[in-house]
Amino acid sequence: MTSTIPRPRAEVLADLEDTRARLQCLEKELASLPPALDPSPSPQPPAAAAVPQQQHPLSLREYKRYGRQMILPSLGLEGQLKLKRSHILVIGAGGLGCPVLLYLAAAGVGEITVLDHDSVELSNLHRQVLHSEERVGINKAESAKLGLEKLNSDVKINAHALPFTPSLFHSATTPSSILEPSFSLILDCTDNPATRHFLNAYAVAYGIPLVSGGAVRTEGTVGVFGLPLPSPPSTSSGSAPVDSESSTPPTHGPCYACIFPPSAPSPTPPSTELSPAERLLQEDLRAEKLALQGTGACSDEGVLGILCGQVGVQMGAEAMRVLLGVAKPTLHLLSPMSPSPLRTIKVRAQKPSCPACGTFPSLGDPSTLSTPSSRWATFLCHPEGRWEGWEDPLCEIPGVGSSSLKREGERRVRVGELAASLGSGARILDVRSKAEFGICHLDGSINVPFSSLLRDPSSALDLVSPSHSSSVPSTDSSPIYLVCRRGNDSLLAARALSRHLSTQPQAPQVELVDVMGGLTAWSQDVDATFPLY
Amino acid sequence: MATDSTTAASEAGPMISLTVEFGGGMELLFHHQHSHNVQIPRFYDPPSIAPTSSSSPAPPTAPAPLQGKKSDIRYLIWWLREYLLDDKNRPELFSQGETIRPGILILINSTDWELEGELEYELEEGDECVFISTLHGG
Repeated sequence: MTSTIPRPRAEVLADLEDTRARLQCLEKELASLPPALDPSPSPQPPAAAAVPQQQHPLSLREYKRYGRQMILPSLGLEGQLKLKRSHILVIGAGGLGCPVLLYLAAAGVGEITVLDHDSVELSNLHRQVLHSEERVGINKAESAKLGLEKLNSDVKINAHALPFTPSLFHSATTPSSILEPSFSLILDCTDNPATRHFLNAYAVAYGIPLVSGGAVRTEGTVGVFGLPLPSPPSTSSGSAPVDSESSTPPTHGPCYACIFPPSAPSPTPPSTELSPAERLLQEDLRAEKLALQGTGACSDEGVLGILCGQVGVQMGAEAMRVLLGVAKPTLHLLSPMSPSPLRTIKVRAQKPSCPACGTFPSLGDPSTLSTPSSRWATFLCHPEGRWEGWEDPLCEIPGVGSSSLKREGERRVRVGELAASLGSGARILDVRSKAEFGICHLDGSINVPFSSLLRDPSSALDLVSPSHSSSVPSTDSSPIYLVCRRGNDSLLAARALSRHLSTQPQAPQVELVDVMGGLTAWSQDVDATFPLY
Repeated sequence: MATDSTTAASEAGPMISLTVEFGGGMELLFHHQHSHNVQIPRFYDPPSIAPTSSSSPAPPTAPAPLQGKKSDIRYLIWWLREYLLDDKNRPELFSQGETIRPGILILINSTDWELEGELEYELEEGDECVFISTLHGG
């Protein structure tokens, strides 16, 4: 008897995954059998019987599969074998990881280890083309493995649902391939500066080249870092003193941190010597600066799907060059929507003072040298596994909306209250970007983007004055409700406007109301037909 | 002193044309526009752009000096901040002191500015300078 009660989603997903795994085993088993039409054992054709069996380094299927690229003089059989003997580590199976994995698995890289802690979401699929609608909800590394095995079952894929963090190196369950790496190459397909710098340090410590890519909005970068350089042909005097670093040419190309130095630690919180009002002002200005700089995340800033493809494929091309032994340190800028979509930069040499790949006297004991591997060893020995400069990207980005305490005289309401005041003259000021406003907005709301509002608060107030919004029966005394996507910028905007009004005592004073949770909450709690994006 | 420079100015004019491009979000600070063709003075007076200088900058239409220090990246950063940046009240989004804020890479004619002398690089007619902030999405 089967129960009529629907099973929990997690159970069905687990079941589905088991079944898929079983299906794969069967398919693999079938693939390893001789073709069905080939009657075996069969009498050899007379001509073949006389020819001695040759040894071939690839399977017959591989010759056929990779033939079109093996014909190329730049690859040849030798190049194909280099790819096959390679084991690469791909961190991130998202926008960049998907094209990287697709093309490198298709090209015949022998073994790929992929890490991602995140799950596939519908909003990923415009760019994360290795995943699919049916795999929404499952881990991205697992989903990538399923997709890649369908594409090329000759490649060994190891998928781990893990984040690449310092704590990975202090966990008993971490795969030994990560703890004792022997990768030919690492691909940085991550989405935040902390992980990028930590992964770079790992690559540098083990002397593994790193191909790193970044993509947001319509622009991307691809770089080849930590590449071993051929030693200069001249002088065989191996007795060069260790301290004359500047005179010996670097053995490696620049690392990620040589070109993109880690930012200084975030500014210290406002000093307690300030008056409460001054402290709040400093706090606001700092939050505004962070909001204007943006989070750099694709979910906030947007990202063009095609861009991820272009950046990922360029990363794949550089990866091929590294694996074939023809790569050079380089940095590419890509902007597929501009008239000059590809620009290649001449990059600086490795910096001896680089905090990640440099070698310099230890801070604690200047008589010993601090090297990438000594710093990594210190990190591994540290009981809590702290890594300097590491901030967990999985923690929420410091916004003000949800965490900020309500201040004296400040009005913040839930979306239900905004719904109740519609029609009674409420004025709505939407501080999202013009493009976001164009996607969807509340009827009768007026758009003043956050950056324009901060630059010119008085024009923003003019725009919502009754003379401008004649369709709404509002007056100068009707409250102004501030909305944004999630409720961060609207709070900062409300505070900036109230700061502005306090300097204009003769201007008509209006009540400013911040709508908590923004339009996301509106869609969740008030109007389920309002689009979330 | 500086007779060479003066001669050069009288031959080539007091201004030079540059292409300035912003990327990685920097364009949002400069009229939401990626590419700008700008004309800046060929020479400048270093004390006039020192952080301690109390005088407010001359309007961009003021006559350019015919001699002085050849305009360099240090001057270009100052010029962009004073004359092209949208929100003059938030220079920290673009610069830090006399240099660029951390997280922004400058490219001079497609070359990492470190190879060209960073702030000291003397600008030439037709140079292309790119300011790009680090891209972290993926």
